Amino acid sequence: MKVSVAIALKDLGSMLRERTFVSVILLLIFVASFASVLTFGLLILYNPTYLNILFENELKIGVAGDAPILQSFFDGKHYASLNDAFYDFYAGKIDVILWLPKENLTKGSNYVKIFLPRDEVKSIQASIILKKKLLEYQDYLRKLRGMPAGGKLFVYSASGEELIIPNGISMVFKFIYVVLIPLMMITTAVIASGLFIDLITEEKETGTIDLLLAACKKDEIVSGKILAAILLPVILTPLWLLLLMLNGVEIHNFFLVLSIAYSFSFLMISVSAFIVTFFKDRERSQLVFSLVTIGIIPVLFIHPLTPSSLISRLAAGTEFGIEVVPLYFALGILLLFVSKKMVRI
Amino acid sequence: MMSKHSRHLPRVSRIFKIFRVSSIELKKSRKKYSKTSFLILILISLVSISLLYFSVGFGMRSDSYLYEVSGMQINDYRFLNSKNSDVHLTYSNGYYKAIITGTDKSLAAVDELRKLVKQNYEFQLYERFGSEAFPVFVKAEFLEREKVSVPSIKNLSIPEIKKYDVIPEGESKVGKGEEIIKESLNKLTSPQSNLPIKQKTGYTIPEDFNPQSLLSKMVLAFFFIIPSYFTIQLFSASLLEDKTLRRLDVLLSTPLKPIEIYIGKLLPYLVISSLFIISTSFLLKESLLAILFVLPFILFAFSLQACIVFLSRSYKEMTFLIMVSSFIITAYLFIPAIFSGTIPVSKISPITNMLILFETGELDLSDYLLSTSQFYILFAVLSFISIRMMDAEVMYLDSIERKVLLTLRKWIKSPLHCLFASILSIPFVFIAEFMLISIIFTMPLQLSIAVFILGISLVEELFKTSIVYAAYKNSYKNSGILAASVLTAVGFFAGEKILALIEIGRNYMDLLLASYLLLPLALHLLTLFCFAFLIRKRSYAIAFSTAVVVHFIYDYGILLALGGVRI
Repeated sequence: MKVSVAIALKDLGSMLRERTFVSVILLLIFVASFASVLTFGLLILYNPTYLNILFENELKIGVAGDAPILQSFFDGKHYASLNDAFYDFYAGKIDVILWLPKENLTKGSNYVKIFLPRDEVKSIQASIILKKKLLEYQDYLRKLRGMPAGGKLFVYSASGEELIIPNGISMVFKFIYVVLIPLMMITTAVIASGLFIDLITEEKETGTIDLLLAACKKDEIVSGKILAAILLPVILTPLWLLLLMLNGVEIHNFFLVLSIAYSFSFLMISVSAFIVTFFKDRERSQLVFSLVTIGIIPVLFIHPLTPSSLISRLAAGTEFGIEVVPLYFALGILLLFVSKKMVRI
Repeated sequence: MMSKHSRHLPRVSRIFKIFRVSSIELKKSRKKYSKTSFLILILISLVSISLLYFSVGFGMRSDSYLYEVSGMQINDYRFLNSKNSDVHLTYSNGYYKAIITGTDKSLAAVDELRKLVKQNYEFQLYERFGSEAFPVFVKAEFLEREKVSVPSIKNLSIPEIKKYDVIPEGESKVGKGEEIIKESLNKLTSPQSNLPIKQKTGYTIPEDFNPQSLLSKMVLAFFFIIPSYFTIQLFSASLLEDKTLRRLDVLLSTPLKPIEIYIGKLLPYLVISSLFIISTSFLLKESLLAILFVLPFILFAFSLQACIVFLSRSYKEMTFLIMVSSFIITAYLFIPAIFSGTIPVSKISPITNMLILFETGELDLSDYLLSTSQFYILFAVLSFISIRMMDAEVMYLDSIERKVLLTLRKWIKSPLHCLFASILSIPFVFIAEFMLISIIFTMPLQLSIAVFILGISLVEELFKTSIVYAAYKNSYKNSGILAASVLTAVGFFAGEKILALIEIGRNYMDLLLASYLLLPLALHLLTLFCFAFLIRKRSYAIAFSTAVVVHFIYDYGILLALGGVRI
């Protein structure tokens, strides 16, 4: 055991010396920050009401055709013909044209054609405002046609106060718990598994394994390599969880979350151990590992009891499936044990 | 001697030599990939693709039972009936009422519930009133409009007007509306992401009317890029093996020039990548021109990985550097494309332009050149650096900094080279600074802007001072270092201005405060003079840090003087 720990510490020490550890941390930070860019970028563009950045008054709308009710909803300039509206559109006097040749109020359908500027941020803003107004217009026509109102959810606090909840708030919540946390778990596991393949193949391909074998037993070397690969997620997982908490993300069931993340890393390290045993050299082992990872990752998101779904739910505070957590941990440990026996160097 | 001799060989002979290296590379691969292991690889690939296909078909359900509700039974996979609920739901007089705990989870839960309640209402209306319940249909058309001044309005030509004089036949028929409603209602019952989907070409009900986006086509772009990643991985692994086992040393001791070895080794993988791209075009029935958009990026990725192979000192280091760099360049390629059709900066990605080609069948040459030229330049520069590093004196050094410095010194032989090196560094700086934008989203705004500017200062000074330091080390110690500093500053400034001349660059440079006439030149001169002065007396770290601090104070000062930053 002492020898294995020394081998593991030697490998981790060389990672620190080469500043590989810095690139690992950088990778995790990049994954988190780009996932944030993506979410907030999409929110800004497609759900600006959530961030209170919808500039409704700045949008100039023109309505062409015989549609007085539609026009009243948009408070837009009226054009008798589409041609006149186009002249103002291309001159930049209006940003949007709504064209409804003849309005059908009490019966039939209203086909509204909308002309928007291409490749302008304004067209995104306009689409969102138009959608909101068109829904109001639809509600108005439904009322005219004698249909009942409904489809509303009123939200209250425990003290009975009515609350206004911004649209799209679930997108941010789901991004953190359903995308970011599983993504960090997967990245950490993939890093640890890639490391294990490198630790084994580098010794073999550079011939240093012979020197090691002269001083230690095969079993001790493999245990040391597995230990080094395990220590990486053991250190990194609480680190990124704490960083998330420092950033204001509430992590429920901390130790269960940690346990699931560790179990997944152990499973992936075992997968890499199987691969490196069969394919032996780094080139083929890393290639096969990449191919296998591409197949495994999407499967993690399809069932409520996969590690990815479990970590999302547990971190968010829902304990459905909690009984599976120790099973995953036991499986991870068992597979590591099998890997230790199986890996040939 | 050998190198001199080979320079006089006819060009055909050189090409033959490159093919010879390629054939050796293929032979090496054939040895490694026996029939059995090749079959196993094919099998693993097929299983992985099947799993991917199966998962996509099954639908993403990792938000299953995420929210806990009490009071009413919700028939939706995301909701779990529980006593410890975040939301208590009741129904009376046609309206739903939710009492929430106020946690983030409860707020998200009511946001999702609100959509379900609305969908339920739409179903009920349709069942009771049929298509009359959906009186409005919408269709959007996006038109390019040039910015024109008011006096020139009369001269405007609007060719599109004629075709809109009548409603296209069939659009006003009730049958069509019925189809749209059914399609829309069916969609509501299937799990769907909250991400906006592509605006449909036909009419939709207002609920389905979403901003223009090429997001739904984005998955196609992944099919074009991902297979090539495997060949790039094979190339770098093979190159690393040759470096580690000193096979490269043997090759370099032959009359072969490093460039011939580099191209010869790259060629087989490049051909396989190209075949992947062409096959993907056939399989997905998309334009064969896709290769024009994907290949420049693939070339860049190949050269980047080659560079990393020569820079890294161990397998572990290479794996992690490749992971980080692959993530960054993939993000750089895809993130702008996500905003396609909305913001002009999206066109810096060849993926945006490829998706536009798929969507419209049109290829805009200026947009194409704008998005791909950066990758061609990056490929050329990185290949040049890799070839310079293919030298035992450089590639086996135990410090990355020394490797970079020695390579730069092999390149920068006169102060004039500083000018070219700094101009060519601009695409690298652009990518690094574009990536730094993400900082803004990860911390509080006031702090993030300061950190963002500090990041910009670090990146720009790192590139500039590295060039000047290499010149300094090449014994331009006195007047030479000043000339090197001036030419590096001028080169950097010229590179920035070339970017600023491009419309997309101009939009971006606003953010980087670099479009203010000659001010950036003064900054570059100032920081490099500080560096040149200090490097003669102090270490690189101190001289570099001073340049960064001066750069930061200058940028932050300008920002404060302008009263904020326009983002």
